[in-house]
Amino acid sequence: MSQPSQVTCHECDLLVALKPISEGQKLTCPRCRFVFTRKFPLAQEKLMAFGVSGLFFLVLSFAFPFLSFITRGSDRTIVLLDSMRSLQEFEFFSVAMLLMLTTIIIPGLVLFAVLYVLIAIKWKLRLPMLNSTAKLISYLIPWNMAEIFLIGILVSLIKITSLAQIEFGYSFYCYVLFVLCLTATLVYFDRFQLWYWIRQVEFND
Amino acid sequence: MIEHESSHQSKAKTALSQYQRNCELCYFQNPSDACICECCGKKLSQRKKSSLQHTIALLITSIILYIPANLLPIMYTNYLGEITESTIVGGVVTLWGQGSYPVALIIFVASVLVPIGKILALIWLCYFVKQTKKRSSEKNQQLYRVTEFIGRWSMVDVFVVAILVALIQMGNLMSVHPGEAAIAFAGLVITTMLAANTFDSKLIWQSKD
Repeated sequence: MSQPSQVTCHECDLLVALKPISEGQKLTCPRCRFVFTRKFPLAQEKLMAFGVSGLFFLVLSFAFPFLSFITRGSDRTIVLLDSMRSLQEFEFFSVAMLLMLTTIIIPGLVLFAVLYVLIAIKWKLRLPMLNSTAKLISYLIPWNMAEIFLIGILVSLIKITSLAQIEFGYSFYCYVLFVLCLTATLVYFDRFQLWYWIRQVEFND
Repeated sequence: MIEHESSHQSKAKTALSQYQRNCELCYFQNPSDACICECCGKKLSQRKKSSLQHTIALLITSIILYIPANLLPIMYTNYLGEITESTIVGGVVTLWGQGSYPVALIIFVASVLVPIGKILALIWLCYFVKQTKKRSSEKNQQLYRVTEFIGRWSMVDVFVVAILVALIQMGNLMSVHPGEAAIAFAGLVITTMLAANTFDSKLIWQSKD
């Protein structure tokens, strides 16, 4: 099996002949400007570096206090999972599940899957479920809302800063770093390039 | 760096007109009789199946969900034993009154403008693809991309409620309870995201092919 010589535009169905591009360039659909691929220097290394650090910070953000709320003698400190736990206490299971999925499980899975596929590519390993994992990444990415959760935290803090003093815990900083790493991973993630590499491993070795 | 095989004057070569079976997910070039992509295993089809019906059904669901999402309170605030309800729009008005204009604006755009805009844009696109003569496909494609991109950002309000509920739990001194609108609003965001997902943007270009 070989690499494609022409591709179908995902958005407008135009057939586009492929030409080799060099680093820093991108391939776009001439009709609807859909970007097929961007070639970054050291894309594999960057993806792995940001993926590993992202997962690392995600795990760390469970370990410490997340936010503290101090007002007139009484105070309350929450950890990351408390935002889901308290929704659950009020029997808002669906919203709690949604929060859990979109801000922790799906972003974590995306990073994990990217790393898994890249390990297979980098060391030319035929790992089990390689294709399904790569497919999963594309299906999960639209449902990642970690960065929106971060904006939500900031908005809610602005809402209550007049009522009380807010202190950020270490977990909060870890979560911010996690979101930054995740965003960087998604910038360098390129479906076209990824499948090109996978085919190199699967068919050409 | 693409060689465009056909000029804009002549009919564009599309996968549909050329009976091509290129995979949309992994870009693999399949033989013309393939039904499942030989590289990644995705089912091959030229168009998303009954895309318009799915999109319209999901749009109707989201319009129905829009009513409770705005009428019911999104959270209850208990301050010194006095319970106040706040709806989404009410929250924006309160923030505006307190003078935090940027935050009020963020919430207003994310939870009021974006959902309405998304629903209207998708209704327009469903109407547009039914036209026989399609002009400005590029602009409509752009509209679709924006709709797809901003969809997730409406979730901000639900996350704000989640954080406030977790953080402010001090009994009668001050506490926040989630309201039913949070569920409706989360559902609204999900259904509009699904509606944008099921809409097949290739239909925007179809008559030009």
